[in-house]
Amino acid sequence: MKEKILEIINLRKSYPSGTLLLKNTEVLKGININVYKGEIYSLLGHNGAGKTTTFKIITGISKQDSGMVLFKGKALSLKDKSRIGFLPERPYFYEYLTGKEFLEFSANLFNIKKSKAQIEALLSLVDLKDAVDIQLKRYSKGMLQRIGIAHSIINDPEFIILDEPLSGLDPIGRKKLRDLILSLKEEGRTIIYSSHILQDAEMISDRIGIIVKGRTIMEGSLEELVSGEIKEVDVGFYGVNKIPEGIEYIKAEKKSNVFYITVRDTIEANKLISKIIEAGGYIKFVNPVRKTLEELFWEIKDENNSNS
Amino acid sequence: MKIIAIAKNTYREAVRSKLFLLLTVFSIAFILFSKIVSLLVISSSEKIILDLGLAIIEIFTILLSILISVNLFYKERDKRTIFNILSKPISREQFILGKFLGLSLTLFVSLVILGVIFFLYALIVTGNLHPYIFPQLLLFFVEGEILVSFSLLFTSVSTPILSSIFSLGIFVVGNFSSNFLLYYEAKVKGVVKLLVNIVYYVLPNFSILNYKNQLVYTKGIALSNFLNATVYGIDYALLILVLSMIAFKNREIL
Repeated sequence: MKEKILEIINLRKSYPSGTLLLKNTEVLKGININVYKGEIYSLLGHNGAGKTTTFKIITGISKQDSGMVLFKGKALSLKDKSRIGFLPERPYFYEYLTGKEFLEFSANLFNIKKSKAQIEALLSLVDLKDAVDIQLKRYSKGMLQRIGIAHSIINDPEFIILDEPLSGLDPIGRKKLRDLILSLKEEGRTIIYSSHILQDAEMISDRIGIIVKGRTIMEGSLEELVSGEIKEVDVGFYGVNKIPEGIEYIKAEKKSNVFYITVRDTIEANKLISKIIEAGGYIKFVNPVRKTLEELFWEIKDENNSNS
Repeated sequence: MKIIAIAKNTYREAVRSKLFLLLTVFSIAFILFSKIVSLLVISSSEKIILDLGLAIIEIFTILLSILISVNLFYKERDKRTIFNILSKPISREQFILGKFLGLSLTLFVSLVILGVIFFLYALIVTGNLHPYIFPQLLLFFVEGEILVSFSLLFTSVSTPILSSIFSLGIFVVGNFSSNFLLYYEAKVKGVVKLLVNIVYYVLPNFSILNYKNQLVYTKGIALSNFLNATVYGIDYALLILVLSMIAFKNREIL
């Protein structure tokens, strides 16, 4: 069994709110996350779901009201943070520093002394070798995200937390960063990142956690979450003149003597197939249409909205 | 090393800020301007230049200590650069200490630069050496340290505008605390007298750090007075620094 790197158990957090801060708004109402060694874990949720607050608690920037954060089975300590890398959401760095100065500063915060060659190698890794002596205020959004990644691995961490690393980037920037995240995984690092861009999660994640309104609603591999969910079945057949009676279908079409029918589930599909064979027809194809992560996400979100 | 890294970065950020540049340029301009003022006043030209120069440096110290401290500390939270630091194996106490040391270094370096400029300028326009300004500059530095600590304390728990007002308020009240004691101690009795004494001892006494009005006549500060003032000021600054660490430890960073 794989080693559990991070385990979050029933995390809760509330902030004072209202004009006089007399009210209490519960932001996290029960976050449960399990991240295993060597995987890429995507924490998905809409804006305000509690992703950033969860990361702030993991990294010790904020404190939970209750619940536990376990790093390798033990409560996370200040010392453990030297094995963790973190890229905050919308990374605001010291804009008057150059790329090199910023990474030197980041290394010093870990008590690490990096040589010029090491800094340059790190900048090469994130495709910023030509921006070594440029001030961060002249960096583009994509460059800032990439130097943020370089800063998050300056201590050679085994566990990396990336808060919305792909948001606000153009398709090329997103592709570069996805590849970078995958290369970090290949080096044996464990990565958890938050996003609301579901396509990216589908592309690179090993496991996914979905949080809605401060609660973990689902957790598992992409296959576990979506492959069991068949939303409809497409059936193609020929050799009969009409669609058999008693079949409830969503849509139907006939092209060159072939019927293309969409039914709502496998039960209806089985019924249809039996009737076609009984009538002397032939099945051309049966294609179960599975839910995408995006459809699952919206379904969960809508369910939670109607429940609340 | 971690604390030094934060201190170094704070110093770098402070000296590269527009506010610092503005304060320094204006202070140097006003020091140079003191010669013109001395020509307009019927008094010893040397006294006016020294009085004005020291007053300008003190104002610079107060503004730099309060505005830069409040501004940098607030910006760190507002721009979320603090997330980069606190997510590392660094405690909040270390963060505050690093900030304090960085701000202290900024204050010290700028006081040395202003002091040397002022010393040379006074030498050129008066033809005399005035080395006794340097102990006073050191006491200004101690005064600044107390204000930096207070600014960090107030910014830990309050907004930047309120923090600046409170810190400036502490400076004003702290300058009059001796007069306050002298005035009320003779007039009140019992519990009220005790309260007056408590207020006097709790508030910083900035007047013991300030010899600028006598310097022209005394041409120096007695060593015992200087040492007493320095030890008092540093102790006071450290005490407030500890309070700001306690305040910041439990502060929620949104």
